[in-house]
Amino acid sequence: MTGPATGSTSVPALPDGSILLHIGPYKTGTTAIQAALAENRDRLPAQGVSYPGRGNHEFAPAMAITHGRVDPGRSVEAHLDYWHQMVRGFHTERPRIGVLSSEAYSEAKPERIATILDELGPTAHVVITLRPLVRIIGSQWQQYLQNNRVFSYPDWLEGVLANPEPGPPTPTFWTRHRHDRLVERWLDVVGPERLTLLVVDDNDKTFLMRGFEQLLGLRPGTLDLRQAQRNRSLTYNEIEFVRAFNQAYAETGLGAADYTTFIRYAGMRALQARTPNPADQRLLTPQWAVERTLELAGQIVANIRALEVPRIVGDLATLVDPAQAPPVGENTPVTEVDLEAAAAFVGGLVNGSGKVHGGPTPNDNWGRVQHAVWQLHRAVNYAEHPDWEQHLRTDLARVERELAGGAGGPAHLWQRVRGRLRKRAGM
Amino acid sequence: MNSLLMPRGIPGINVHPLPELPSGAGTWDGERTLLVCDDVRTWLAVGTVAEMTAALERWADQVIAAGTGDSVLAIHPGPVTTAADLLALAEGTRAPYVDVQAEPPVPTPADPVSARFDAVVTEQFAGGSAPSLLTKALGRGDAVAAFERATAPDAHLSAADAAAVRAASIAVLRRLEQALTVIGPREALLWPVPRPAPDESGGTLSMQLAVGVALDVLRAAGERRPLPFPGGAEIDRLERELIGKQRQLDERRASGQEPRR
Repeated sequence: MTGPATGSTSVPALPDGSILLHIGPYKTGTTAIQAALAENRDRLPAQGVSYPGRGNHEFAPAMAITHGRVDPGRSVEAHLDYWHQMVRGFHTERPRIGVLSSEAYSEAKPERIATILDELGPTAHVVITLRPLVRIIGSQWQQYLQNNRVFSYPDWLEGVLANPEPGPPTPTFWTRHRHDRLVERWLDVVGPERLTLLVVDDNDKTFLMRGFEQLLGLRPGTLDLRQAQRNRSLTYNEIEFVRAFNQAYAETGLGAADYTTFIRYAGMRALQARTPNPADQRLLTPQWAVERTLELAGQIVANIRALEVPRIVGDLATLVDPAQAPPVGENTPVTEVDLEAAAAFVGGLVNGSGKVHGGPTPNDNWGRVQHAVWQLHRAVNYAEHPDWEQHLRTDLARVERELAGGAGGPAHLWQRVRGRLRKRAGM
Repeated sequence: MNSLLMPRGIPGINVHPLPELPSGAGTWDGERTLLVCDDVRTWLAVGTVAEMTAALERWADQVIAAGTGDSVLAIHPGPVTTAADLLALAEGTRAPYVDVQAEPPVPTPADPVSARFDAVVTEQFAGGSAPSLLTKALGRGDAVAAFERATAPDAHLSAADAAAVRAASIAVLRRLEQALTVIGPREALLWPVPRPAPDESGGTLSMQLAVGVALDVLRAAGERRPLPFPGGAEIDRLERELIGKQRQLDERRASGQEPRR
């Protein structure tokens, strides 16, 4: 296989029975690989590979097991259950290789790493994708803005690049992107034989897919790059619109749960899905920031080399290659946004209301808008199901019999009752 | 006992004839002040930017002074015609309540730019259940209405002056939101700016204006309520009772008093 200095371009497949745990980190091609896996979810079992889940990747369950929390407005218990359900599936169905992938795992503290690996068992194999830091900074700033932050790119760069330690303005940046410490954290728990570093080269668009195909023992071309929707960066005009929106949102009194449902996972997604206006500015990174980032990346890569990880695919030198730098310069301030971009954002925001169920009870941690939408959805469901009241009376009588110490009933009756109500409501 | 005060004498506030509320209507306690505010273009005299800004500031002072204590500033362009609508506003929600069994109105965009805006908004909608189809239809109407209000043609002011008056009206709105409960389409309180040249692609919008439209749509979703329906109160009561008793049962099981199966 490989020496730690240069790495290899070919990868031996993992042994049968392995569980591949891809932990990202963020902005290292995770969306592309997850989309390609999800696109082929139904076809992978024919080659012995299982990629459980419902969407491109199971971010919320990964958050739940990694942090013990999920995004505002969601249930941590439900997502933790789902994570365990996926893992149980590997253990009972025994695919040739099971795959979990989420960048959320990259933020796990050592004790959580141990928990995750204990749950997965001794056949777990951790894959870390590494990408030049200089390619990551702009995307990561955008990601923070998509999480309701408002700092400008130059301000954020100055704060983050001053000191490569977790701290203001975004403590998670260096938790995620001190890749040397990330590798060390996981190496310490999983050991050198069950860890692979995959160094992403932005100049070779097929490298990531081929690397995963080889690790999983898949036929070449199974993970088709064309099938993988890339998580496109927003244009400077679009991201400045988002920044302006976030500034105004902060004054509405609406909170994080509504932002998550209607903006982050709805308006923002719609903005990202459209073809950008070719006249928009691309995000430019100041020269000083590029130089400083390369300097920091050099220190990080030296530390990774010193860890002597035996399985490295690709070349660590890529991570400090100045040729990987993004477009350099300073953007001209913008005060206008493409009408179609604004309309897509608004349409996406409205479409987000579809994610709010109309079942019998609202979630305790919902936001004000979610709650209002729920009231409306519930009213529609009642109007469509005139027998609702009778069903409620029947369910109530059953629960009362149980409380009175009668014949008893099945455990988790309420879940069953609620499930029935939701089913009737078409949820 | 409760009562509703509706002061008059402030430009644009409670200017239309208002219906009578039945005695005891409303869920608030004590005295509430309701300030129903008409569209800014109907009551703010056009002048220089400085004159309009000063007038807006004076107006805000009057509104804040009138709205001491428990008060709602309900932005509601046009008259309030029914007691039910007045009650909805007094309760701090939009009027009218949504009749979920009626077809939601379909917007008719006023020009090609509005039509393009509407088309891109609806392109984002991905199917959904009956409830979500309703909220999307309502959101679509909100979006077109907010866009058209924000970009209404204005023959009186230059684009730059309109933008300056808009900025002043935004500052006034922020003051009001800090002092009172404000509901309704905020765009009706903001001075419009000229819309982009009508072409098929739509052109560009002021970023600040686009933000205002998006927020108006989100606020509308949060301030709208369904029309109370017959039997609804009983269903609410039954659900609360069912949930409460099920929780008792769950607690009993968790404490080991009730065997799990």
